[in-house]
Amino acid sequence: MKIVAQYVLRLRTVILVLTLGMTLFFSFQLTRLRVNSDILANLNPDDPAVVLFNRIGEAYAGTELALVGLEADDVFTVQTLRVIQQLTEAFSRIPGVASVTSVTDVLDIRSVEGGLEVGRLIEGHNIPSDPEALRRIRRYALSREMYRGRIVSPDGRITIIVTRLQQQADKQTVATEIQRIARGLAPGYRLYFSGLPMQMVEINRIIIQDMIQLVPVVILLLVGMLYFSFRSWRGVLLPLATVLISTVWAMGLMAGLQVELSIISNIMPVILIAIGSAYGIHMLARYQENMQRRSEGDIGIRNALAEVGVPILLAGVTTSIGFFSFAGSYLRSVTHFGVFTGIGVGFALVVSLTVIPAVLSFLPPPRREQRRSRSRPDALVRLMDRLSGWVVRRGKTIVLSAAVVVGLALLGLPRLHREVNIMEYFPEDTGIRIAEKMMETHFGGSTPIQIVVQGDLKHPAVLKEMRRLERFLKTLPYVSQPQSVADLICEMNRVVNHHYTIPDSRDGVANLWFFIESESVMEQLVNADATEGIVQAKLATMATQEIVKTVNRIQRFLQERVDTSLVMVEASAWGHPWIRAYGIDRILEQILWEVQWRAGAVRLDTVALRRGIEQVAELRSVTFSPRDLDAIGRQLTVFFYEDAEIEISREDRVQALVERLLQALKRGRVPPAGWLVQLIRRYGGDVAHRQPRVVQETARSLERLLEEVWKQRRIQQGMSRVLPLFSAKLRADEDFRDALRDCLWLWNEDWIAIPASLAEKSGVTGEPVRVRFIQSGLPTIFVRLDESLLKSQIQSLAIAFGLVALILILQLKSLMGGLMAISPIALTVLLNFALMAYLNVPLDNATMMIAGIAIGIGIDYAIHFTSRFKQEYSVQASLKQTLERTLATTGRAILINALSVALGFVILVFARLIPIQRFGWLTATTMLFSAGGAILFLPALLMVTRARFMGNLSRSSQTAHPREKAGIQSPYAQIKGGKS
Amino acid sequence: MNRIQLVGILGLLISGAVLQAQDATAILSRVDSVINAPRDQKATMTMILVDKRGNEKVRQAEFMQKGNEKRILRFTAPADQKGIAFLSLPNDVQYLYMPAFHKVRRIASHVKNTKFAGTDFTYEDLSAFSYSKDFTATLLEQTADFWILELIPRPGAQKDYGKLKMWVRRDNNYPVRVEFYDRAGNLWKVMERRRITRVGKYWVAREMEMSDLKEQHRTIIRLTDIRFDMGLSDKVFTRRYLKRGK
Repeated sequence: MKIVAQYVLRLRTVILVLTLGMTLFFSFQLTRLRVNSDILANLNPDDPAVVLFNRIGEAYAGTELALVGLEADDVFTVQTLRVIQQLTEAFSRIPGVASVTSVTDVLDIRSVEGGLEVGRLIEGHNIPSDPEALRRIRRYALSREMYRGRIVSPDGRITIIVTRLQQQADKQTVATEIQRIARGLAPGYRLYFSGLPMQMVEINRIIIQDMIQLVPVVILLLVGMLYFSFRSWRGVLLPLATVLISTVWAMGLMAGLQVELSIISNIMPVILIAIGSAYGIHMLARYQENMQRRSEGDIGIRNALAEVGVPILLAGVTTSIGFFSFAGSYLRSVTHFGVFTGIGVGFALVVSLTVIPAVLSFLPPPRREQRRSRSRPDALVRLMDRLSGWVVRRGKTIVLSAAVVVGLALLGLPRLHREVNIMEYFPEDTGIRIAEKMMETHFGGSTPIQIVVQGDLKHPAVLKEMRRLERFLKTLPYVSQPQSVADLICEMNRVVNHHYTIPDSRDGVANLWFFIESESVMEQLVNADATEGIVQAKLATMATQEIVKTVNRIQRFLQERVDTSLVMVEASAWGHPWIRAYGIDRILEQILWEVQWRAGAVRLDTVALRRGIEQVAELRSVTFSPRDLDAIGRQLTVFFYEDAEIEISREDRVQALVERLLQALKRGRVPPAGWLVQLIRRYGGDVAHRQPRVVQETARSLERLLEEVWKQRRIQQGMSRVLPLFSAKLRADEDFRDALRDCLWLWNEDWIAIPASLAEKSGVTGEPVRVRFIQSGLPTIFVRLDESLLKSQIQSLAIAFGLVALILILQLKSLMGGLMAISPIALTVLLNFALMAYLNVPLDNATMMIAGIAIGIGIDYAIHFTSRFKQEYSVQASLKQTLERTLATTGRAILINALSVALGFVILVFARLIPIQRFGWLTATTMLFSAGGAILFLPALLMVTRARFMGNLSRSSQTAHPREKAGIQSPYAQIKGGKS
Repeated sequence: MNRIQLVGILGLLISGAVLQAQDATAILSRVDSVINAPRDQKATMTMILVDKRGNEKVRQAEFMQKGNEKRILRFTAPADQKGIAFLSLPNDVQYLYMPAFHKVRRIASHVKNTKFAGTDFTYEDLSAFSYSKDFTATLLEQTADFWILELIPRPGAQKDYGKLKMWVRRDNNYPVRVEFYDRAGNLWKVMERRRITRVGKYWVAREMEMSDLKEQHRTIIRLTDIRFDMGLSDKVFTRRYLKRGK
């Protein structure tokens, strides 16, 4: 170190010029530092789960939705609807916006007499002012699952305006503009902003605000502390300059390497300033001490550097190790924080050991007034005296109490829970959380569960599997509003064919698909060539454990209960007992899900239900009431007058034809095709003879019409067998009756999809269909985060403990001694986790870092203490005196250092993010724990074991440091002595 | 070539005097009459839908129109949409035929700005309409080849557009480019009519392209086998015919 010191002094000008140059260079880099407020960009981009999640977010526009919630006494008033209309129009005009959906322009397709009506739920340009009309719209909107809880809250008080951004649009700019417009156009309304682009705006603000507010506070604190300790301007300025320079270098390096600042790495400057000052302080303190004894400037500097260089280096390296141990964390922000703070500590170390001596060599030696400050901390010394007396007397008690504490801590550990939901990181009064809470209460949450579907999405078998999955999802706690293209097809089928099911043919699906293809919502549900799509649902919980549970249940369902290989067979296959049993199972399962979703866990006679379902399948003949027949008659008349391929102009013939058809229906079955052809030929007149093809075509249309009428009636009749099995409440629920009908509709279908294995077993063949489901969405990412949190924690602990133990073992030249010396740190880490467990503080991505930092910084205390102890042992008469002397010097320094570092960390309780707040006060507490470990537990342990683990102390220290015999303080002792 | 130039120069000389009097309203009504000139027409329509990622979807349909209010469009490709047909009749009466269900359904629509069948054309863009009825025109500029008009929706006309800018060819009054602006004045959509040729008595654009700049989606429509004034019967434009096809 002496040689280094000489070089430093010889090259002092070069060092200063170089430092200035580097600082300028990094300051310039710093101007290019970018803030990254996209939480998702923080995830490990190589993880397949993240790759899938990102692809889905991009392909289905999920990450491009900005939501504005507007709360009113009632959404459905002229005034409010006008405001919504204005907002909708204004948002759509913002450059970068692709489309806007709100109650005043959402498409509404409804079935009306004789056809369907395509319209808007509310015509934005023509909002009715009649209260009755508004009430009607309200009732309608709240009765439809398409709108209720999706675009309007079930109580009709909150509505959501969804803005989809163009892919290349700057999300933050557009989101900021949306917020500005919303505040301007909707004063007096409570507004909520949700969705990734909106969150980015707020996170960006938090990152910058935390920096702007916390950095000055920590600087002020440091200045105060430095002034209190040194009472000189150089004592304040030199360590301050050291931390500022090293912070600029570290952050400038970060910017130069194009690493963006994000929600955890933004506390880097605060931490660097808090802990990086220690090295400069040690250097300066030692220099001043030396200067009181010797007068020559350069020699004093050289000696100071030579004496404290190694300990400062050791302390810095161990602290860096603590930070580096976070590298490889799942959150990139944590890795960046660890690596660059570690580097920053390294910079602080280098600057303290080079720049401070270089600057000092240009300054005149300090005046004598330093003496006064040295005589000040008598109170602390007295406290240490008392402490050592106590430790000597009560060593055993202390060790025993520690053992009890360890026991209690271990007992509490299982209570430690993890929290990875990034939403939970924001305080409850932030816009993000308020909006989240609102979405959870009124719209089923905002965390999307996304399940990717791969296959021919226009195939009925695939769509039916999607519907089945949606029914299952609805039964899970916290999960609601599953949505996919299958729902849109069902919705269209309801409008065209009056039942909410997937048509049984691919053509049928394609016909309905054609109609909705241009809807912008399609882009969010299915890819361009319909080979992949997603089933989305909302999750209304932020608790990690619940999220993990839900993801696992869905995963189990997809693995165990979904067939990926299906075969499309004709309905005649129901005749096979195995296939029929499969059909019954399928219907039963879906009915039970419907019941569970609507009524929770209720007792049901499933045996009777199964029998009822089977009876519906056996219904081959149905009865029509006179009223039914009347309606069918009218339908047939319109058919012949308007739609039929054949044109029969004579009214009497049409009437006779209709009459014959009704007579046939009364027999309970659809008349055969041949009979229909004959009938049409008989009543069709000349045309029928001239154009036999038209007769054939008409017969086919007619057959379809009659079949449909018959099928409707069959299910209606079947319902009477099944419905009595349910509670009165369910029976009265119209939606449930519809759902039941739709479940039973399976028996009516001409084509059915069965698992390939069943088809093979039953000896039937058909068109093979493949479908694959892969779970994605934020919840799966949370599960990965949760898994990796533990992994990161263990990794960081192992690295930090391993390296630090190695250093201690080397320093003490004793395996046992090293392990003993590390025990205060182990105790500290254990206490930290126990504290978290008992105070219900979760392990999250910030609190995960505490142990590593505690080891990195806290180990210094053990190093200093044991080293001083060794030195004193060789000069003091007894163990007791050794301890007294060690505590009075090093012990005092440890306490002061721990207090000042803790103070720096405590500043973080003023940060906006909850994990950072917890991280701040917990790390501060941990600093005190580790100081306590070093000055209480370790001495007690030494007393109890008679310091045997330290090896043959006196001999080793005599040979190692002969000059200490003469009463010269060791370097360790002195730095610690001046460490205030 | 020479003759065209000569006509052009002559035209310029003559119109020069009456330039100021060249009323934008008159130009617009000539546009209307050029577009709606044929008594009836039949063509094969190819629609190419291009999304923002460049994915293309191609559809083909048989198209028939009588006057400017009766129209039938029957899809022939892709295979799974074959047979789907639309019938538009006066007074916003529309019917849809879905062959998979053998069903004709009336579509009552009071939303004209709904996109038509996945294209970037709305029902309104496609409906036979007269610009003069819905817009007032002012002449912004004239170049050697074009009149450039600004069209503002007439009060009461329910339009999503704030204004239109239209390039009208001076030689045949054909509108070759229309820019649609939203109510804030942002350019929203652009329609271009290309490959304008004369078939019999009429001018016709064999290619039309509509680009939606917000949605970043565009549709190209190409017309082939165009025939005019075939004397199409009213019976063609009925529900029965819609279903029967051919």
